[in-house]
Amino acid sequence: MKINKTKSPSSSLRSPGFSGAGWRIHLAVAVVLLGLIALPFVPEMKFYYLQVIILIFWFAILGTAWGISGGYGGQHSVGNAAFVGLGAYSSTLLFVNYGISPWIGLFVGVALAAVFALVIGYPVFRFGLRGDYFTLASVAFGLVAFEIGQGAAWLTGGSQGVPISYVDDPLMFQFADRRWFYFIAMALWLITLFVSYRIRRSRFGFQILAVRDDEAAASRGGVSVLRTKLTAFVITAMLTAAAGTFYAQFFLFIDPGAVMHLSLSVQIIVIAALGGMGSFMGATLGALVLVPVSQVLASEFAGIPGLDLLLYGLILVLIMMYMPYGLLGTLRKKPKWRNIIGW
Amino acid sequence: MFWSALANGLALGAIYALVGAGLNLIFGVVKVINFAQGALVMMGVYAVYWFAELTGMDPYLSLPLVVLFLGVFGYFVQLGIINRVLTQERTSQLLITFGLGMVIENGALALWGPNHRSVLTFISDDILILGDARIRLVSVVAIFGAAAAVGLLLWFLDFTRVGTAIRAVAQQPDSAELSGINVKRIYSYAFAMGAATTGFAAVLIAPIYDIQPLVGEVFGVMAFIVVVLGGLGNVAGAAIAGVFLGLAQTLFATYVDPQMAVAFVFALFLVILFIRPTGIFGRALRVA
Repeated sequence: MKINKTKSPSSSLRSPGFSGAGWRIHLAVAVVLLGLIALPFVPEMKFYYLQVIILIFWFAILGTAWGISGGYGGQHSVGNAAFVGLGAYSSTLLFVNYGISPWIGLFVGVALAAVFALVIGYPVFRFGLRGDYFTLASVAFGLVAFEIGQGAAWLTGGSQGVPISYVDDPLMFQFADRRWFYFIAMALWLITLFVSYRIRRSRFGFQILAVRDDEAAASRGGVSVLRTKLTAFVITAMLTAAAGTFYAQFFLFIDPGAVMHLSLSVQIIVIAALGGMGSFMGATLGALVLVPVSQVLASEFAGIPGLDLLLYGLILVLIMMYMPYGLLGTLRKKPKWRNIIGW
Repeated sequence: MFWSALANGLALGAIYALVGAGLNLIFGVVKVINFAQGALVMMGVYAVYWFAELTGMDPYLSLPLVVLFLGVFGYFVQLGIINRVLTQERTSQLLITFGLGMVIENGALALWGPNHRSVLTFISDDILILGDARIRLVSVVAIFGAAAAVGLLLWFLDFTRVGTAIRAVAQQPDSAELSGINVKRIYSYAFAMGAATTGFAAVLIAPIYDIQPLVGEVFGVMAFIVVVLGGLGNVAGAAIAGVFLGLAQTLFATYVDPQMAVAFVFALFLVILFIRPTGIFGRALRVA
C-alpha cells in the first residue's frame, strides 16, 4: 500500500482513509473484532464484565454520535441526554401502555428525536448566531426534557421511573440469554462508527468541517451553513435516541435521573473530548478509558455520592486546559495516523 | 393569592436578576459563558451555612465575608484557569467552566452529602401582610437586597477607576491594552466581581431555600436564560428579564402546576429563542 503517493493538496483532501492503513492495522482491527465476538463464549465469563463492555459500547455510541455535530460540526450540545430520554421513553411508553414492540418504538424514538433536533436547531442556526447560543439552547432543551420527565407524572411516571415488565420474546427486544444485548450493543456501536466514518469522508463531511472552521468562508464557498449544521445535529439526535431505547430494554427500568439528567449530557461530552472529538474513534477510546474507571470508582466509593461526577468534571477541565484535542489528538500530526483515525 | 404570588415572584425574579447580572458581567468582559455560576451560588450558600453554624451569628451578617470569599475564589479561577485558555476555542472555555461547576457541585455532595440543611435568621418567621399579599420578610429582604446589589454593581462600573477600566476592556480589549490597562488583570477583576455577586445572592437565598448541593443549579440555569433574554452584556435588560422569569415561574406554579413551573420557564425560553433568538432586548451577535 502506497499511502502518500502524491502530496498534492487535492489528493490529500480525500485521504485513502482506513483502507490505506496497512495490513498490520487491518489485522489488529480484525483480531479485536473477532475477540469481541468471541468474548461472550469464553467459559465462566461473568456477565458483570460483559455488562461493563456493553456500557463501554453504549457510551461510545453516545460519544461518537455527539461527535458528528459536536466534533465535526463544532456545535457543542449539552443536552444530548434529552435525546437518550426521548428514545428510552418513546419505546418504553409505547410498550408498557400499548404493547407495541420496542423494535418499532426504537424507530418512533429516532423519528421523534429527529423532529426535536430540527425544532431546537432551526431557530438557533437560522440566523447564524454564535455557537454559544446553540449550547445555551441545548442546555435549556435538556432541562425541559428532564423537568417534563420529573414533573409530568401522567405521561412519564415522574421521578419514580417506569419499570418494563419482562416477556421472553425477541420480537419484544427481550432475550432470555442476555448475551444478545452484548451483540446488539456491539452492532449499534459498529453502525455508529461506520456512519461517523463515512460522514467524515463524504462531501457532507468536508462541508461540516468547513462550517466549523469558518462559517463565513464556508458560506461563500457555496455551503449552506444552516442545512449542514441541522443535518449533523439531526443525525446525532437519531443515533443518540437509538441508544436510549437500548438502555431501556437492557436495564428494564428507566427514570429521568438515569436517562435525561444533565450529568449524562456532560458525561457524553467528556468521553468524546477525552478520546478526541475530531476522530470517529475518539469517543470509543474515551469510553474505553472512562467507563471502567467510573465503574471502579462507583463500587469502591459507593458511600460517597458525587465522586465519579467530580472526577468527570476534573478530567473535563484538565483535558480542555492541557489536551484540547484529546488522546487521539496527539496522533493527528502524523499523516499515517491521521488517515487511520480519520481526523 | 394573586398578590402573594406576585410578591414571591418578584423576590425570585430579583435573585435571578442578581445572579444573571454577575453572569452578564463575566460574559460582557471576559466573553466566556460561566457555566459554574450556579455552583458558585451553591458554594456561597454553604459558606453562609457554615458561617452561621460555626459562629452562631445571624446568617445575614456573613454578607461581607461570603462576598469577599467568592470574589477571591473567582479571581483565582480566572487567574489560574481561564486566563490560560483565552486563546483557545470559546467552546473549550465553556466546557472548562462546566467541568469546574461539576467539580464544585459534586465536591460539595461528596463532602457534605445530599442532606437538606437550613439556616435561621432573626426574621425567618416573620410574614409581611400588605393588603391581600402575604410575603415572608426574608423574601422582602431578597427583593431589596438584590436591587441594592445590582445598583451597587452599576455604580461601581460607572463611577470607579476599576469599573471604568472594566468597561473599557469590555468594549475594546486591544485599545484598552494600548492605553495601559492590564487586560488580563481586569479579566480577573471582572470574574471576581461576577463571582462576588453570586455571593451576595447566596446570602439572600440561604434563609429562603433548603441548603443542599444542587441548590444553585436552578439559579445558574435561570441566570443564563436571564442573560440570553436580556441580551448578552446588557445588565439592565437582564434585570428586567430576571423579574419577568421569576413572575412567570411563580404565577405558573400558583395557578397551573407547581411541579412543571421550571419546565414551563425553560419552554418559554425556548419559545422566545425561537421568535427572537437574540433575546427580548438583545442585539444580534453574529459570527464574523
